[in-house]
Amino acid sequence: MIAFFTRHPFALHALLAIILLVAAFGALAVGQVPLSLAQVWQGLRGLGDGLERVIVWDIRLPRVILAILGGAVLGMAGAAMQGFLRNPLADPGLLGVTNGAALGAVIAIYGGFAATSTHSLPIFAMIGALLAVALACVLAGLRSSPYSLILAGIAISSLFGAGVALALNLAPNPFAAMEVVFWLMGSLEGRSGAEIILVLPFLLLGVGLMLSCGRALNALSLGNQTASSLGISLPSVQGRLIAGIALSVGAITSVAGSIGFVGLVVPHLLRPLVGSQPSRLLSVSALGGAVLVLLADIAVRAIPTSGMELRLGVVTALVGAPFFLWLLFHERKREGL
Amino acid sequence: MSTFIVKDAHVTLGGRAVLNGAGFTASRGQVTGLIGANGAGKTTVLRLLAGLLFPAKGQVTLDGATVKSDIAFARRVAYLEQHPASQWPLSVETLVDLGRLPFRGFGAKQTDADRRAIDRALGDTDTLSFRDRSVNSLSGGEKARVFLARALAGTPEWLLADEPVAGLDPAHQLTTMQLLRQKSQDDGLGVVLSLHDLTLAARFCDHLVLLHEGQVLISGTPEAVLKPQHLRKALGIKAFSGIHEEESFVLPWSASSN
Repeated sequence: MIAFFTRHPFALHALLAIILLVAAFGALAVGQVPLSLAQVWQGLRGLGDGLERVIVWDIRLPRVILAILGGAVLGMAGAAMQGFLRNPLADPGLLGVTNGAALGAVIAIYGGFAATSTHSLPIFAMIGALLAVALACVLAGLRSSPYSLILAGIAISSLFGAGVALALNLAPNPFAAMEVVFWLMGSLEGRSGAEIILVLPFLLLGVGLMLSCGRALNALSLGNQTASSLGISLPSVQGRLIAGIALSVGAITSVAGSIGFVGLVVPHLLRPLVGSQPSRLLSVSALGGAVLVLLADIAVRAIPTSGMELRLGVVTALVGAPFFLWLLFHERKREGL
Repeated sequence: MSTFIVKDAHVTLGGRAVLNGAGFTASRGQVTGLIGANGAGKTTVLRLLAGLLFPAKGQVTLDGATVKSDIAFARRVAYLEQHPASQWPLSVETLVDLGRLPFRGFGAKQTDADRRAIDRALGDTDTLSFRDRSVNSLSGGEKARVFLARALAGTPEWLLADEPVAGLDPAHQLTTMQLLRQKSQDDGLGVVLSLHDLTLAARFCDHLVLLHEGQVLISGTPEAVLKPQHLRKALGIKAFSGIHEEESFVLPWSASSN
């Protein structure tokens, strides 16, 4: 099966796209008011009674679209990061994007800005994410090696993380702290078309920048020296990749909170199916990430809880971590280690 | 005639003067061998030629123009690093195809010319049978040949290779050197390579550059370079040499205390 997909990349894309489409229909049907597939179809076409149309169009569709966009961006950013650093354990969060967004969000919540306008939280989070990455770049130096960049990213990430922890520590009341904690766990609950429109330009720009690096990522499998000798300009690739990851992951984190594990697991999972080619892994990981986040969001809504809905970041980690472990053991057995 | 000229090159790496005033000329259609002790500056010279490193003083030119690694240069000059490796378990064919990268536009598909160049490179390096295997499943020597195929797949005018025969079995050392000499004679490929085997250097190189402490001790024909006094000074060895089947061999015999 692996050999088949390696030879026919289109088949893999098509299969993932079909799974995604089916999952999307499922996601439209699942929720507090369960709808049949026929009702979903009616609602989508604007037919049926008003309730179905409102549930499908105004409540569930924005959420489904955001899950797909978010998962796609996280999957692709993970693949880009792993290809760039030539390390299967790399994750977009290494650059400080996630904690930067978190600190921005915390400032918006505590400053009272989040209460005055719905857009201010995502905007603050986005600024925080970009600021963190920019600081990491400046700290590492512009023409730095990937490794000094990662070290700077980890340092900045910890610093911003400490800022978030400090805010929790000094929280004026438990509700403010709760709000931050819940935001950090990631959720797509109650998101609307407005948020999609807000982040879409950043997502598209980021994805475009990442895709422009595909060939360079292939060359980088052979190391910096050989990649340079093949005419790849490393500073240009590094600049485009970091900007692409910061913009897209920053944007999605600013509206959905932190959704862990997708960027790490999805590329790792799909790598064998594309013959390990970093350029092919980008688009495939985008589809895979979208499927994973969408399924996790279905689980969030389908699993009954008393009171609060489960958080998306919690579910991706709960499902992702054991699966990842299983995969690692499986690989180890196959390699006879 | 296309030539690489290194003139009075000074390079300092990590506070150590790796090259101080090295200079030589390499011509297309010849195999130029860089020899010298560990740390003499062979790898640094190759990286200078490949445009991956720039001299603090002095200059490196290809046909009169200062060397600069960009796409146009990458189409003419292939670089094969020492101990090449692939981070991901790519198939051999995919890996060799990376050598075609400078010729392929963004999002472009493999062309017939690409496929011909890949087939030829695999055939030349005796690696056609590995084609569909993962690079990581190959032995060290097989891997070295596959990476040589990657460099040749770009149909370069010049090949800069850092110890291309290190780790190969004796038969493949001979066939690889034979292949490179043949490519230089038949296709006009310019080859600059570093190596430690003095007999291979004597038999297969047209031109040798003996590096010693960041400078060129002597360069010229193998007979002129591989003289006992040069070997003693630059390599610290006494060698046993002779002629077999009208070709000379040089066998390091004892380490002299200078």
